[in-house]
Amino acid sequence: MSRPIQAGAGAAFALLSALLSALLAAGCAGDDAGRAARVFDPDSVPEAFARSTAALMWPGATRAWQVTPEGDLYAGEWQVSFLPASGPAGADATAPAIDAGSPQTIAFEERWLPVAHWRRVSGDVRWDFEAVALPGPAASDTGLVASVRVTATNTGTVPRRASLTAHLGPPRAPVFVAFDAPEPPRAALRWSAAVSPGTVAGWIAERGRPAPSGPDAAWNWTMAPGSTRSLRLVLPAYAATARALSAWARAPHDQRAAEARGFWRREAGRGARFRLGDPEVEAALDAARITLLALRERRGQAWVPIGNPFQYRDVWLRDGARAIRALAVLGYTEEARGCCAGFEGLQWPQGAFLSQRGQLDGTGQALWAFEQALLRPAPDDSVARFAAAAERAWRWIEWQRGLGRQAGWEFGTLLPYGDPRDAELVRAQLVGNDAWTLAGYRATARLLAAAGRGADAEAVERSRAEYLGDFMRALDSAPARGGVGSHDIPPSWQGIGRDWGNLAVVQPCGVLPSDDPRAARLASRVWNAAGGAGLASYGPTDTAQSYVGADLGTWALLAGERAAADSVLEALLHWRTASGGGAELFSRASRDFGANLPPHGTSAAALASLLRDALLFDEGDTLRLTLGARERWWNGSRVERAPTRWGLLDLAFRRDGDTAEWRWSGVPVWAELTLPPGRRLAAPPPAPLRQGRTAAAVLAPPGTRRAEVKLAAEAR
Amino acid sequence: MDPFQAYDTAVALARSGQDLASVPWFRRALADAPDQYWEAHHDYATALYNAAFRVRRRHGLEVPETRSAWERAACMRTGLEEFAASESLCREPADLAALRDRRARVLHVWGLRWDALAELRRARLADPSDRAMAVDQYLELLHHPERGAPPPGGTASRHARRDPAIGKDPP
Repeated sequence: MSRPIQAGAGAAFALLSALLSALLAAGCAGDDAGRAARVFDPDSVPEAFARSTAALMWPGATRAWQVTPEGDLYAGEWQVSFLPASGPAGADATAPAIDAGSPQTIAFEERWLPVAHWRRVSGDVRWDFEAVALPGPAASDTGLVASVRVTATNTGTVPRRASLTAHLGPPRAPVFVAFDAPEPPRAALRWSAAVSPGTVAGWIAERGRPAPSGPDAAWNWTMAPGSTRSLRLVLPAYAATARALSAWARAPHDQRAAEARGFWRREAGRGARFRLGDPEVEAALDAARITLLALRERRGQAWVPIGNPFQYRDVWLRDGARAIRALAVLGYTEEARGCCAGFEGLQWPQGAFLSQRGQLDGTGQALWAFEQALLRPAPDDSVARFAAAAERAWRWIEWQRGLGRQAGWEFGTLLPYGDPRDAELVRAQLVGNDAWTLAGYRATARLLAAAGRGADAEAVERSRAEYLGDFMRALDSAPARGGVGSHDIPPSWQGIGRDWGNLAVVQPCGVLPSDDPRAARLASRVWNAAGGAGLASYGPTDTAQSYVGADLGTWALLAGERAAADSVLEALLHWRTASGGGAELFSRASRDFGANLPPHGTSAAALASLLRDALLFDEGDTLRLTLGARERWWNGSRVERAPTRWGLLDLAFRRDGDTAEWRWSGVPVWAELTLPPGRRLAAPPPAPLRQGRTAAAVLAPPGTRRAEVKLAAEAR
Repeated sequence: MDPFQAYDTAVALARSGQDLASVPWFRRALADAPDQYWEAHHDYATALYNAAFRVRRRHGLEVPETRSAWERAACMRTGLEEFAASESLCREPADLAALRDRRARVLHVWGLRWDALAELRRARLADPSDRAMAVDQYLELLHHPERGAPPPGGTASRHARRDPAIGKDPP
């Protein structure tokens, strides 16, 4: 498709071109003109999906900018569409112009640092876009502003005419809309380049430029070979006054970009550090940190975790709990606890925690999240308050179990039927609801104990043992009933529904031990249906789900199924955008996520949790180290300031020839050390070490800080 | 504006589907006359329940009217408190039973099955006339969810002295 360039007379452009060439030759290039500099090439960054997109977010902001696959920007109210084009200059200036196509890739620097780059090409002219988002001029937390720089480069050998139109308009076929977007949409969207009354949707940071009269701002240049031109736009997520945007735009784009880089590097750096000598994995973990930190909104003094910056800008207990756990184990203790405070707002008067109707797993997930965040690295001062909330929830469940006991039905003491309209997608008594509730009981006991209420904690533990007995009886009788998963762990006690909450029964719910054969059969069934270990399918085999099967990865770590666990991690690493985010659901064949835009918070949480658990696992009474450490990481890795149940922990491990060495902060429990992949002990471990539960592990007594063993190659 | 005018405005807004907009008017009405009319508390509770499920079209997409589940939970917490306040003021057995029926329905829709059953039983205690069947049907649903059953609620709700007809099935 092509269209004529809107430009002045050819002679004028020829003159301008000559002047520019002279200036460039004299080395006077400024922001508006210059030789092509070495620029970040977004198309060199891996992108797993067929269409590329990115999210420019900020913690607490109520909107985020999406860089769309077409290279436009949309934050839920209006769209900023860019129309770059180029054509011949000089005598051929009336020839049709070539419109730039969509960008191939929208990438963040290092595939995690939220400075977005994308590139469009129209003939010889390359258009490089760079965008960052930062808090804007508004006093409230809504004021996210994007600074966008567009740079055109004539890569050809002859002068070219280049034009760019930036259009403000309603979104084309939006897949999300901001909750507070006016309806009907704002009629008059306009740019401003000078302080003027009223609010505007965009600011053009060019001195002396006349303000465009409508929603279109246009630039027309004649460009000498090798020359560049650039412009800068400032885009508020909410309409803002021209004066406020003008003030914000006084800081040049490079400064804003530096501020964004600095902020996010500090944010990524202040959590637990994982120095693995594996840049791809470390970048993926940093991308997960950024996603988790940014996907939080304020509610008064508290925070709530949200599912996604766009179509899932809402709160789900099932997703938020995962985010809280991931934040907690990554060392963002304050953020994780702030989100726990937000979860308090989801407790109902009866004691239940409920975010969406029919989703009864929420109570157990909330209690589990409290325990995950409040007890690492040491109990928080607020633990008594959360223990009391957990106790109310526990009493509510026990009251229900009592009614069920009186009824005398099969499954009467298990949670009643749910109709979650999601996940298992069935009306039935869901196994995952009971598994999560049991996890909630364990969490309640731990919280009560930490609050100094030992007797209450024991009462909860006793009730958990009874509940677990009911669960196991129902599970043991599943084969006789038949249905989906009856020989492993079914999605519902009625044997119907899709696999979802049942995948969490071993981990993180801790209801079954990892060596229970039903867990292995479940993993086998789910992975066979998906074509192998890695991501699970949801519904059709072709539909991959990025996080629901991640718990099977943790199970595999604990069960010694190291290759399977690594396949899950590898899949999570692979299926990411060039900006580092994971999509929730997508087609394996077409690599398309449809309207389910990345990044998804739970995908980030799954990656972070699995990676951390592969190095440090502290859910039981033993600290497990290097359960899933990859061969490359054994070249010498360090984990620093990692919160655990026994305080902040540092870990270093290395394999040097036939020797493996671990150094870690002493803990008051046994530590299980897993050997490097493909290795076994060459000899019995030296005292005080002991052989572990598998041939690939040794045990170190409490207080140990260093261990070294001799290795031999594992027999193939 | 006196509390009666505020109440009439609130009900008019709620009847026209503007549940969230009705909330401050209900608050205003109840602030000035908190303990006089059970109907006002009941209608406020119903408006909050409806607000939690209300959707509207924005930019061609159907989206919740409330910002997020956090706000919807807040609606329901306040709504349940208002149901309780309404019950404390209600004297007629048939009205009391209807109130408890409504509360049972709310709890059922959100998935709190045993709580819904308990409310149905309490409704039967208030007005035993025709609620035994409702309780039995709900028990059957709890026992055999795969078979399905009608939602809770006895026919006595038609006896409610004031039914603003703003209760609705969730979308």
